[in-house]
Parts: sequence; C-alpha cells; structure tokens
Amino acid sequence: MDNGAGSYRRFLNGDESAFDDIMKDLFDNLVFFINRYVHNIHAAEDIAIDCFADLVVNKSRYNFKVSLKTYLFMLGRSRALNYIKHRKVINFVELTEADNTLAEQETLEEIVLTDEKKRIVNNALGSLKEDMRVAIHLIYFEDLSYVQAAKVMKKTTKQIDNLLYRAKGELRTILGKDGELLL
Amino acid sequence: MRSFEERKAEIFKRSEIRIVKRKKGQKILTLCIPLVLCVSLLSVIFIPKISLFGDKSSDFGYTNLSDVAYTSLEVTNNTTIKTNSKNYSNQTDIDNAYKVIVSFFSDNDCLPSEDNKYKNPEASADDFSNNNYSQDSSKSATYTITFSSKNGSVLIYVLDGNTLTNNTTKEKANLTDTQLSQLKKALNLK
Repeated sequence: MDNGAGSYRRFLNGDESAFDDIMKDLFDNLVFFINRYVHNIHAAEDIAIDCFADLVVNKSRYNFKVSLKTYLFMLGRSRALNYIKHRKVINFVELTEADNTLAEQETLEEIVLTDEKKRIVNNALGSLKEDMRVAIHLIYFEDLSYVQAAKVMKKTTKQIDNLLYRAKGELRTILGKDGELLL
Repeated sequence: MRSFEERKAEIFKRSEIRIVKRKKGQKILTLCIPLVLCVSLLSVIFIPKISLFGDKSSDFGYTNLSDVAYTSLEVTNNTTIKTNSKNYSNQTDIDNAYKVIVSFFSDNDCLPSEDNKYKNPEASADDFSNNNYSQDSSKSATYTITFSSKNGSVLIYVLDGNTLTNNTTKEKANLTDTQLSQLKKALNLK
C-alpha cells in the first residue's frame, strides 16, 4: 500500500473503483483521528466525509509531495479545529443517544485498533494533553513518520519528538513500567 | 454511523453541491470583472477631461476666482485726512471689480517690483505721446482695495494715481486713463 497515492492517481485517470479503495483504507482511520479532537463520533464522520468530498472537488490541490494519508489527516485536523471553534459550548445529548454513540465509538476502535496493545494504550491516552494524544496516535496507531506527523500537526520534527518523549513519560506513570513497552 | 455505501453517496452528493456552487461563483466573476475593468477605464479616461472642461476660470484671464471666492470688498481712501472706507456686499459687484483688476495684471510679462518693470497691456505709443497718463500723482487719490474671503484669505491692491500695486506679489500695473476710469466705475468711485 502506498498510502493511497497510487489509488488516487487511478481515480484521477477515471477509475472510480480506486476511490472505493481509498475509502476502505483511510476513512475509518481518519474518523478515529478526527474524533481525538472533536470527541463526537458523528461529527468526526461528518468531517471525514467533507475531507473526502474535498478530494473529489479539488483534484489538483493534492500535489503528491506527501502521502495521501498525510494530506487527508492534515485536512481532517484543520476541519476538526474549525468545528471546535464554531460549535456550541455545551452540547446536551440524551442518555440513550450517548449510549449508542459510545457503542459506535467502541466499534470504530475495534476496526481501527486491531492490535490489543494499541487498545490498551488508547484507553490510557484520555488523560494526556491533546497534542501528546495526537502525536501518539499519528506515530503509533497510524504509522506515520515523524516528518509526516509534523506536517499534519504543523509542528517541527523536533517538537514531535519532544511531545512523544513527554507522552511516554506520562504513559509510564499511567500504565506502569510495562506500559511503556507497549509503545 | 453510516454504512460504506451511504458514506460514498454522501461524499459525492456534497462534492456535486460544491462544484455547482463554484460554477455559479465563476459565472458571477466572469460578469463582474469586465464590468469593473470598463468602469475603471472610463474613470481614468473621462474624469480628467471633465475636470478640464469644468475649469473655466482660465477663459477670463484669471485663475484666482476658482481657487478663492472673495465675498467682501473694502475700498479705503487714504488721501483724505480721515480715511474713508466703503464696503461692498453685492457679490456681483465684488466679482466684477476683481475681474477688472485681475485683467490689468493678466499680461504674462508682468514682473515683480524688484525688477522695476511696469506692465501696461493696453498702452500704446499714442497714449504716451498724448500724455494720457496722469504724471502728477500728488493730485490723484490713493485707495486701498481689500478683497476678503470666508476662509480668511485677503488680497490687497493699492491704487496710487495710475499705478495699481498688488501688495502680496508686489506686481505693479500702470493704468491708462481708460483703465483707471473703468476701475473707478467698477468700484463706484468718483
């Protein structure tokens, strides 16, 4: 898998089935990533749909200099931040709806985090700061490189390195010494 | 959460809506840009011409009337022991007097008093030979003619016999008897 660039080229050349491949590879991961910011699975899905619609409308905007995954995650992050800026301060949800949302979130987790270790780490991430959470997510769950993660988060690789170092330190506290080994 | 097909349908639906919106926007731009260009071209071409046509003051040989509108005129007779002042409130009279005075100075060869050159556009050799100039200034009156405008600017001329001096620029004009009587008529002086 080349992180979607090859599939996108095929899509640009007229092969509509290539878009299905991109969606299958990247959609759930993108939703999961956006959910780190917005903490609302339905809103995350909506934003992810917008990001993919952007791929269809602005075909020339992606210049293949980064992987399609990195590009999509960059789009997702900026739309997520916009969503957070414009959403209402308090969002009331009915209890039944909240249960359903939680169930859907767990399902998505199971789809994206097939590895049990990753699930354990994911559960511990909630107590970390947002930047650290996102950095861990990109590097360890999405297998992006430091350079790619830096592009997504609009930071330098040194900053990503620092974030990961501090995140590991906190995870050591949360999960114990063994917890660090999970990363 | 939506199924795979539902998501795909939603993605393509939203992308179509965006494409339609973009095409509308492009249509509006293609209409507006030529309009804006035309308006700016017209304004560049025609506004300077309009401002030139609107400036008629040069036709009368004076430019100050368009720059500063003098709204009051005072003529002071300095010859008598007690100075007499005469104030003019009729704008037509004021404009007429100004026009007459400026016409005496409209010759381009007029020089400041340091060069000691006197301007007399209507003088001719006959005037000099017929001795139309009043040489004896002691017999003629001295008047101070003061034009004032609403913004506070003041223009002062001094008429001493046949010599009319602009106190600001120090230009002098030697008037013929005809011009002197024309000036006195404009100022309602005897």
